Amino acid sequence: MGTTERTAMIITAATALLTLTLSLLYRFTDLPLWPRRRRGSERPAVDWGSAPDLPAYSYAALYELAVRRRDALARAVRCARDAGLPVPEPLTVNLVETRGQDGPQEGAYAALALSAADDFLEDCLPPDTVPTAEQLAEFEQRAGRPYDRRAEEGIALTDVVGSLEVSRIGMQALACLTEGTALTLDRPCFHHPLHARGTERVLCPPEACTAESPEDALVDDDFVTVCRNCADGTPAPLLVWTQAGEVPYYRTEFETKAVFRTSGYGAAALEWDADDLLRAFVEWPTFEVDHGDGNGNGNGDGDDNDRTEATA
Amino acid sequence: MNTVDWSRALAGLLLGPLLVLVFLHPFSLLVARIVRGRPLPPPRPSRRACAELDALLGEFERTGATAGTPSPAPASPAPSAEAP
Ligand SMILES: [Zn+2]
Ligand SMILES: [Zn+2]
Repeated sequence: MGTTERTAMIITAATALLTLTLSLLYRFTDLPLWPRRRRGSERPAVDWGSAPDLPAYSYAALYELAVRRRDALARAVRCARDAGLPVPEPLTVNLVETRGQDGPQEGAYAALALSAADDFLEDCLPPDTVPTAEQLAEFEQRAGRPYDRRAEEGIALTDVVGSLEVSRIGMQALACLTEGTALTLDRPCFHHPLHARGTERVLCPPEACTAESPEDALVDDDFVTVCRNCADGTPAPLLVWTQAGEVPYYRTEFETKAVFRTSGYGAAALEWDADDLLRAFVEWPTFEVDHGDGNGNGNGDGDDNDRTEATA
Repeated sequence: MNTVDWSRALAGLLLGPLLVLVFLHPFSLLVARIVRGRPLPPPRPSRRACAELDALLGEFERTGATAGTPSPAPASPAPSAEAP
């Protein structure tokens, strides 16, 4: 054997040994093998408290919180997928069949929740934006009155709240998925989903049950879940700023998404399970509540209709 | 005189990692699997994702999973301070 061959063999053996050591360390340990880049900046802390301590529920603060929670859920869903948990891809999630499938569906619920949270936030006006002339004109044409930032934000608030609520359900679904338990809805307070959770059951408040159009009637006409404070004292509902002044969200007619009114964000649809509620949230433009009388709450297509449509 | 033909000898720099890739690494995983008698731990990216998921879910459990946070006082839109 020549010197060249012997040198080549020594080099081969040395590099093989080094590479094998590194690859096994990588595979089996968490030792840092190269200087870490800062991992895409630090993750912001997210407060998941049901009654966030925010100044007077300001739209800007709640929007900010909703974006943070949605981002945290998106990250958690991505991690769960990378960790090999059964979470369907977002693109296919609307097609995923969950009812009557084998195995836990909590991964699909998490993906559905993320999809709904995205959808609701998309319909919201970011608090620091100034509407373009085009948007101003579109608003005037749609609402038949001059642009009113407060009215726009008031209605968008119901979407922000919806995003907050559904992000929470998504995190619960992921927690259940990792623990191997089944997701049960932790229902909010019917009057205001940002109150403490709806641990009490009361008869549906009469002002909510006497909605003017029949298809706005509640799914469960009997009971709603409310927080302890609302059960004990005067309820403080989530108010929406409309032309007629401030109105509880469940009395807003076509200003907000029908699915929020009909389900009370889950608090008024006690016979719905997580599957029903998430489907309703994701498919809200076409979702049909099974009333038995053939009347759904579907509002046709798109979000412009549900805000301005005057007749059913 | 023994002179080394470095252009050929340095091919070992490529041959070494190649040997690991196609043979030594899979072989050591197999040996590890047999010696341990139970499945191997998940690979690093999956472990890292798992740890991050745990951190996110832990934050959720800590700050929000309880139903007992107080709601704002009725008739006042300002929320009260959250329970610790
Ligand atoms: Zn009904
Ligand atoms: Zn309440």
